[in-house]
Amino acid sequence: MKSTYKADMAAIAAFTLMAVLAIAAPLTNMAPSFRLFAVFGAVLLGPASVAYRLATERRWSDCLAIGAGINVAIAMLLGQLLVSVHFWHPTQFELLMPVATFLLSSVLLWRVMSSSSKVRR
Amino acid sequence: VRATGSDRLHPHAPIRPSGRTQLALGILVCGSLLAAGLWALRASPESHIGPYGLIQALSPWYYVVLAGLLLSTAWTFRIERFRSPLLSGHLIVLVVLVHGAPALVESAPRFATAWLHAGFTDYVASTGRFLPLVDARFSWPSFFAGSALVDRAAGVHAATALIRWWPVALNLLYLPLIFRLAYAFLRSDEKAWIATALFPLANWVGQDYYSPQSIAFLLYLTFVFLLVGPLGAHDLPLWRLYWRSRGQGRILRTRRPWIHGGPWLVQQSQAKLSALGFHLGILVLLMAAMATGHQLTPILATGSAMVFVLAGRTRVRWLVIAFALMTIVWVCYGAVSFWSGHFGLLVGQVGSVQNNVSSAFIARLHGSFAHRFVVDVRLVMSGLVWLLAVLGGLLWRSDGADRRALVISFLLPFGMLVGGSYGGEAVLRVYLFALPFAVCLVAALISRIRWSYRWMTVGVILALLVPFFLVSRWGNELFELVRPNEVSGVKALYRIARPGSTLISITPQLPWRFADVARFRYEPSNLDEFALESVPAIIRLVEGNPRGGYVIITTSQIDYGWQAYGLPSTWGTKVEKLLSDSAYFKIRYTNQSSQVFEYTPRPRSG
Repeated sequence: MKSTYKADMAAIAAFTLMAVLAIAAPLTNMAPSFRLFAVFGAVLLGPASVAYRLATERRWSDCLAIGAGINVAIAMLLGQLLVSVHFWHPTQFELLMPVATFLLSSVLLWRVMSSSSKVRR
Repeated sequence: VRATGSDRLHPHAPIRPSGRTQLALGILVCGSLLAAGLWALRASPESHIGPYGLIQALSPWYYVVLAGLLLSTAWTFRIERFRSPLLSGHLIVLVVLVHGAPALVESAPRFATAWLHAGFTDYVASTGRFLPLVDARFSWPSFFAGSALVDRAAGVHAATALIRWWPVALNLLYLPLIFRLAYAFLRSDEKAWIATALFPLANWVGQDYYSPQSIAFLLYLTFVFLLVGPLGAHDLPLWRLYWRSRGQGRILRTRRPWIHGGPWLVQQSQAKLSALGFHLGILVLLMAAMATGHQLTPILATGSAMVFVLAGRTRVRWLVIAFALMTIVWVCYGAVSFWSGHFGLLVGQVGSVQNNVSSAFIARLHGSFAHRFVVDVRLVMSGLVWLLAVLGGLLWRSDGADRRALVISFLLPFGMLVGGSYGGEAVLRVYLFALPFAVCLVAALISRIRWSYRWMTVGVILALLVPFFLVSRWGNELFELVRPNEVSGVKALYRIARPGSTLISITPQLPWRFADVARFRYEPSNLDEFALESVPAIIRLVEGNPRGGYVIITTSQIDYGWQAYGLPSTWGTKVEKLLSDSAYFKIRYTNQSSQVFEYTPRPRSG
């Protein structure tokens, strides 16, 4: 991992928070502007950035810049797929993205923790 | 990206550690300039927007703030420590102030086509279906599907809520990729920052509004960066490799794997191989989204990939064939409703360069004096950027693969002029797709200047670009802005009109179809048929429809007619009077900026 432990932890916290907000948004009575921020934020800070970090171990700035484009592409293809198979349930299926972000952030957290404990030993 | 030793501004430069104080000061300057700029924009009266566009309405304080910002940006290039965060801050402020200017000055979100796209998104969001027979853009619908998906999850009832700040958001997303792309080619922190600083002010083409192409361009930049960054190579060009291998009795094409690498692949660790596989997967994903999202971008992306392969600048080789196939398969399968019956239209312009150039350049050089001036400024600005890029290509000393790839990538979009006129917008697209490479070449040219003058040169070029940008980008604002009364007029039209009736707009510059896309018939459908001036011409469009027809006339349409079509400035009043006096039309709605007429098949008596 090229970034520091602190950067990883900060990024994991941000990604997890955004994912949790986006998951909670359709289920709760959030203010519309806050819900908009949560869902769009969870798309831009979506699973691709975390996956990119996990797969390539590049810097977070790279992961964020490249991940934003990939997350948008995922949303486009997911929408296209749902329309093509005539199964248009956008609110439920959009949740796939923040859920994936949450899971990937957990994997990253586990990896960061295990590598830091190895260093300590 | 961290600067390496060779990236430093100058080995003998008087570098002093700037420290956290300098960072804090920089943040304070950025924050103050942003606040002052926002205030200046809010103080600019919308009513002063004239034939030369937004520039006539902008408060003098706005220019003072921009001058301060550019001076501060140029000064920041001299700083060694914390240069990246400070330049990032300056460029964010620059994007907000120049690309967000109309969002703060104008009362309604701008640009009629963005409203139309919002209507398409809302239709998909509410029905889960596309309308490929209604509009060609639905043959490449993944942008609308993705946007509808996210809108619904976010509880957005109308996508028009997004269009005001869309250009700012998109330009902010482009910048990190421009920086990375520039760094991959120029291999210098400083040069990459220069290219990135040039981009927002050189990007006058206005393809960053709420549209499929704005997102497709983001995907394109990501795609291109992955090819030359993480999957980059510095090989001999493919033709040299071919001749070399032929001389040794080897046939290149039988020896090359999908990913070039040979022994390199064997030596890689499992982690590196998984990263490689991940990158390839991303490329395929991005190409799939581009191929289904926009008609032109996947062609340019495939072309760029081919250029990088030929120039020996990427490790990805035969996968390019898969990219081309994905594009072709989508056109053949997904966009069938677009080309079936219009095949001649699709391929008829291929090869007729003269016609395509003529429709892109000469056909645009008409209209009012002010409009021709704006078009002239656009041409001068484009020519200037291209000239500097060519000079950069000639004078830049670099590793062969970088220069080869950059110069050919810059020239590649000009090939679009062979492919078609793209509704007269081919040159806009050429400029947009050449721009990321052009700014890299301009940055390379600037880097040839002595260090002590370099930061001043950057400041001067940025300052020169500002007036060019403001006229080129916002010069048509008189008819591209959307007046709240026009939106009220269109909403009234939707309330009044019977479902299935024909709705007529006298010029295309109207913010409509943001709702009820499939409920009415919209006429005219062909750009050449607009600028309707006579009652019989309007009646011909509505008389065949038993459900009746309506005509809407707004201020923007009238301004568009005299500005862009070169009609007399009184033509709108004339058309309004003709319709009011006609026995076949009666006024159904009127406000300050719009009038709605209903067609009555049986003439009114008296």
